[in-house]
Amino acid sequence: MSHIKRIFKRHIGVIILLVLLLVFPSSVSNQAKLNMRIIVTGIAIDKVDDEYEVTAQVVKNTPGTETPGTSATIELVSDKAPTISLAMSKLSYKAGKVAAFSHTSFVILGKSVYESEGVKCLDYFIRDKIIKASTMLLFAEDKASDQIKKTKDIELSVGLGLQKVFLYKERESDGLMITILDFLKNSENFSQTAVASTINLTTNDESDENGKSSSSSGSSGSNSSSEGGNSSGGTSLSEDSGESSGENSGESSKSGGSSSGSSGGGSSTASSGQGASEYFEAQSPIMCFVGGKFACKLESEEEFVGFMLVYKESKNCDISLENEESKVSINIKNKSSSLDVRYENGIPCLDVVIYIKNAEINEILTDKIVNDVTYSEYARIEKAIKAKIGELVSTCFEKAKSAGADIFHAYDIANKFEFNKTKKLYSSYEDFVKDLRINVDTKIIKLEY
Amino acid sequence: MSARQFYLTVLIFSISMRVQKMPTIMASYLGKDSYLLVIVYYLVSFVLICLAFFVLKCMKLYKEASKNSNLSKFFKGLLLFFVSLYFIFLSTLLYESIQDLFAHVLFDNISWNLFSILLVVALFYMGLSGLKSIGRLMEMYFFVIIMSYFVIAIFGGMQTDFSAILPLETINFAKIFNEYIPFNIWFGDFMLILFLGNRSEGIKLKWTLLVYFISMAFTVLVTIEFFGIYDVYAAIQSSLISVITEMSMLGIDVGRVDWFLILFSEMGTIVCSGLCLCLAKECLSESLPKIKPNYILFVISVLLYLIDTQILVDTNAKEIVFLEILSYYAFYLKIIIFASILFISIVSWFKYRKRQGSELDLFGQSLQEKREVPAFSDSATMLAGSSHNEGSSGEPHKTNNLTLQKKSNSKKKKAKDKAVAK
Repeated sequence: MSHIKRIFKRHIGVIILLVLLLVFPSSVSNQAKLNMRIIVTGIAIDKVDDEYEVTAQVVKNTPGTETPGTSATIELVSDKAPTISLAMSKLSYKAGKVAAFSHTSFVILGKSVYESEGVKCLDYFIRDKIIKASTMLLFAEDKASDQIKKTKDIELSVGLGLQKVFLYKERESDGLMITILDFLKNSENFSQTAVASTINLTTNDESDENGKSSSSSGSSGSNSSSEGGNSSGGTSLSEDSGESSGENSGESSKSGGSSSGSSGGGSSTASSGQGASEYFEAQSPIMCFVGGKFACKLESEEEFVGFMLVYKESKNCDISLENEESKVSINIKNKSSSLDVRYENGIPCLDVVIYIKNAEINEILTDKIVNDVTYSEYARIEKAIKAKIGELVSTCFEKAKSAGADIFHAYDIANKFEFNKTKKLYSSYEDFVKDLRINVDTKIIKLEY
Repeated sequence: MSARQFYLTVLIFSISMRVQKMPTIMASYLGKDSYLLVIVYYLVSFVLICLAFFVLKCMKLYKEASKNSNLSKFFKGLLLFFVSLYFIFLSTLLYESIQDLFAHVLFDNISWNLFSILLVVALFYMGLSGLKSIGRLMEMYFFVIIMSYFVIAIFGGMQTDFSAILPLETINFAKIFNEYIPFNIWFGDFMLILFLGNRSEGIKLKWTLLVYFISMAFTVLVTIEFFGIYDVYAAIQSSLISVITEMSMLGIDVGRVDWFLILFSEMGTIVCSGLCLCLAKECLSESLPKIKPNYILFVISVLLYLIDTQILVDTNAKEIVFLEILSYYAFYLKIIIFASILFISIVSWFKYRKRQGSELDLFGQSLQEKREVPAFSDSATMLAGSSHNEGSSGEPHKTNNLTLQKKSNSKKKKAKDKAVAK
């Protein structure tokens, strides 16, 4: 031991030189390779003539700049191949650089893909070691490439950070941030039912032409434009309906570049970050798949809000009540839900309990002045809230049930917690869903008015 | 190695061994019931550790008795040769998991053959330094490594659906027991305790079991978390430790900060790989006393490098080697070693007893001597009694007498042992 120590001490310089010779060449070549990389942040997949058309959202730094981020641009690279894997490798060749896929944060599947073959192309993403399983999955109502192209015209940080945007939307009950892993896991469990959001980016011009004002009641405050009153497409302000959108909650947070009130009229320029004119449509439909095949779309407001009320990741929500005399807007803060399955005379019953820790009556549109609204009327409002929530959840449930989807994973719960009974009574998923009933209960801990 | 270093080493070793590739391979065979097989292995290991401590005690007492016998030397040499192979394979197992993380997950373009040389040199140097240095290294890094594991488990737990292991009614115990042998290469802690414990001072069974219990709790928890996060896709992940925190970092702008934790925890894996190499060197040098230990270590290191870069080149090769070859080798080897050591201990005890020419209890204490001295339990009671009554006149005197008598008895015993040895 001392002999070897002596060797090390005497010839330490030689040893260091040897180590440097081993590692230096590979580190130099790695540096060169960094300049030859493009970073792929999003992928859109469509099917064209039996081939997959893959469009990648790519970030490129403008050469010759030092400050990161200020001179980055989003570009799009697209190619076709019979398999996803081939198409992805072709993208690299087309760009002329090595494509780094480890920063991919979202994948959009187009209608042509999921209607023809379901979601089997997602197998590539779950197996690939480079693209993370936590990549967000979105669907497009038409072409995925159209949607991804529009990301060029929204604010850069938003365009690259779609996952963060949808995480926020999810919390505010305006969308879902479902990872590819979660989607596929849900497709493989007992219920075989998986859901994900669609992405709908609309331009200022498009929304004005169609008279589109997305989301009336039930939208979250996050959809309101920070410039107030700028009813660009995708924001939740609706002048016609007269229903409040929860803007009074005080959150002037924006979604999808709506801070570009300064753009004044939505001039869309090629470089993102300047005068962004694309906006996220609020409450984009939720796609529902059973066994990997497309089943139904939750597109109406009632269905959408009904689903989000039960969905555990969403915390805040807005609902509105209406009768002949008045309209009431309620902002739900900090909600949670629990689901349980029991058997009543052999019929499965899904018990949904929604806990609302804090609800605020934001607005009462009535002929009465504020002080004339009595406590008994507030009690009525509370009852009406519970009834409304029950109605919304049931609407969503029935829509999914009619398409054969177990949207709240009741069969999964039944198998996990009542396995023997379920196996005895309903070994088939389809029979279970056909007979399944729902029972919704709402508990409001605190109602402020 | 001191007792403290021994306990820390056992804890880190038993965790590092089981939170890498093993859960992913297990998930492909057993799915959601993988954690049950882990529990079964640990329960069996508890029993074997108790037996290992018994054997350690016997070995210490009867070492001298078997020293001069040529047959036992040959048998011992042969046994130690196979044990050293076992430790080389354990070292390979840990080494391969380091390769998996660096070469396939972190830096897919890295030239592993080059990087591996540097790692092997580090392990060689660790082996050269000996068990004392490795023990000190483990003590120094322990807090960082264990905190990393702890935080990783918390991050993973935040995203886990613990109901993924349900329903319990579908547990197939027959399948679990069928898969016992293929995975036992990852569970050989009593062998480590046997050979490391022989080179450590003052280790106690109760603390070893406590440390092992902590390791069991942690391993079972992360195995459940792993399946709770990935479900049926757990089998196609690369390794548990690199993916368990992936889902908890969404929406954070600073990137994957959990990689710091993973890399800190990998330090434990590297040190444990060096430890196995060191133990292999010590066993082989006892088996081949004419060859210098450093040369043996050099050959072992080169062998490790060649196995990793030439044989274990892809997942299929690894699965075949670990599950179908090494596991069976390890299983039968453990049985043979244990049975052999027990046999040697019992034979040596009879020999020792014959030479003594007097009645001995199981641990070599002369019963004749015992009759002259109060039994230990009586001494303990009297000592305990004396500590409550320090003021009284009679008892301190009694205590002193007892202590003096005990000391003189132990001196007599030592003198007798020396005479027997001569």
